[in-house]
Amino acid sequence: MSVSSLALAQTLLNGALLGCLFGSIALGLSVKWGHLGVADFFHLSLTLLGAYLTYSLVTELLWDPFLTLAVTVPAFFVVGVGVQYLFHLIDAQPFTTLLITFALFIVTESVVSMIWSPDLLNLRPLLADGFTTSIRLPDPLPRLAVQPIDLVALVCAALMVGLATYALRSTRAGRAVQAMRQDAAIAETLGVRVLPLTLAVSGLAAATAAVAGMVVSLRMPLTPTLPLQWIGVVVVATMLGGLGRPLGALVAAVVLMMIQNAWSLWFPPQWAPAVTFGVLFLFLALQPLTRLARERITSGRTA
Amino acid sequence: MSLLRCRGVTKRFGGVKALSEVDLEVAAGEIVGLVGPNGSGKTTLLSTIAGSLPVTAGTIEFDGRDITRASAHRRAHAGIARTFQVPRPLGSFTVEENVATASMFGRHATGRAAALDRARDVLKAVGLAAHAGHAVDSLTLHERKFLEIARAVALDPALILLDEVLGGLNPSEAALGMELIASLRERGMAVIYIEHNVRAVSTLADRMYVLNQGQNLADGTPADVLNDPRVIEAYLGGPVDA
Ligand SMILES: Nc1ncnc2c1ncn2[C@@H]1O[C@H](COP(=O)(O)OP(=O)(O)OP(=O)(O)O)[C@@H](O)[C@H]1O
Ligand SMILES: [Mg+2]
Repeated sequence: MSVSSLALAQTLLNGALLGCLFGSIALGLSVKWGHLGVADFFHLSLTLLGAYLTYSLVTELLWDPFLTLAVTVPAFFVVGVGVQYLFHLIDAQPFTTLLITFALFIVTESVVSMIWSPDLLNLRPLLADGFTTSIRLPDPLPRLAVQPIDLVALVCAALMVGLATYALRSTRAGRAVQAMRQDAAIAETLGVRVLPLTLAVSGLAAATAAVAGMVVSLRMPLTPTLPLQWIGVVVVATMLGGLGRPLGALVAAVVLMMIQNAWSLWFPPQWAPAVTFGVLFLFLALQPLTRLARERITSGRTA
Repeated sequence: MSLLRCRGVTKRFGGVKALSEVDLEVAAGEIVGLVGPNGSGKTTLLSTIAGSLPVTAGTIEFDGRDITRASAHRRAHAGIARTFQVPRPLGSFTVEENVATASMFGRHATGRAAALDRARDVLKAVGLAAHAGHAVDSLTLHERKFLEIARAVALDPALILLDEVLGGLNPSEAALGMELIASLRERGMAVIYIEHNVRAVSTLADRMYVLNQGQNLADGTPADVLNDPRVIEAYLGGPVDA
């Protein structure tokens, strides 16, 4: 079967834009996993909750979808702070945090089914045409189509990942986070206020789920099991991008979704998610080799 | 008035009583030597003073304020800095970034550029200027120990706690280290200085404390302490300088 280059380009573009959405979900997971040592499955549930809350505020109160962020962002910040404070109170070890966030992940699915029903809910029919009708890229560019909502996903991902990367690399607070991540006890003896810092990081990471959730509600029909569909791509992108590196997670998510979409052009689409795990498997299998190579090179340099 | 006053400090680890009812005082600007056999509780006492470990009982006052329950970062801001017996540099920071972290978040918190300037000054003072931009895993043991001191000094403390910073160094490195410690006192810092080598401590210290099995054994001027029969007994029954 032959595929025109225009169709291939369109498929890759769609994959990249959907990857932006998964990248903005992976952002919060990557920050919490990398910098707080919490592999937070609940972050995916928060994203789902953000989507459903957006749906309700738009359909019941007729709010503008973007206005809902004024409520969901601060609310999720508080949730993030609360969960991290709980971990502090019980002095939770990494495995305990994994169990707790996994339990919350399961519970949230049922709670969402109970409150909003297990059926598909779709915001798209209610949106203004400007949101949903595809637009063509302007003239010098190839004749590809994009949906405005995908551009929203792109802008949200770029803004959040850009801000997070800048904050982690270049601000005082970012330096404190890096010191804490390496050795919290040392950071504390050097004057870093570790507890408030972990609370703030967790709160901000959770707040990004509100933004990602809003994009989800505009982009796809909602069901309570969505996080199970996301988890593969989001976790693999987080690991491939390097824990604690939001930009790496975004790039990985974009590349993964481009590969998945391209795969579906030639091979059975139901296998596409497996491609993601194939990439992870290859990466993990090759990692010892790349590490060995790196050590060879660096030891050769210092010798 | 003393800068630091520990009264009845007791620390239990489960069944092990690492410290029982230890008293210790340090005046501003003096070097206090803290010696004792292996496992006598020196590091534990230092950790309770720095806030790295909570005490089981007793009180710790610093600068006239009760800091017994204060967190480690509050004590750092109040003017207490410590080193670790086994150096613990932040591995993905360069040498100067390690030191700058203390200036950035310590007693007189600064921005990053000012902190890096200050870090380079401190590194020059401890003789590590040439390594400022290097990765910490390129440092030798002696350089790592001096990095520990540099990081503590960069907090600009009133009291600096040094845990065997000269242990494992060769004689010329140790001599450099002793000069460095004496220079801290000249800058107005008080020092608690733990060392196995009692000789080295006695030449530098204004006063000394001896711990044995988690208890005060003796204290006073180096001459008094070295001639105290209980101290001689504790050090394997032999004279201290043997
Ligand atoms: N975290 C800990 N948990 C349990 N026991 C501990 C802990 N830290 C120290 N101890 C015990 O407390 C006692 C005092 O230890 P500490 O390290 O303070 O001695 P030290 O005087 O510094 O010895 P050294 O000269 O070998 O450094 C020892 O018996 C040690 O085994
Ligand atoms: Mg010790």
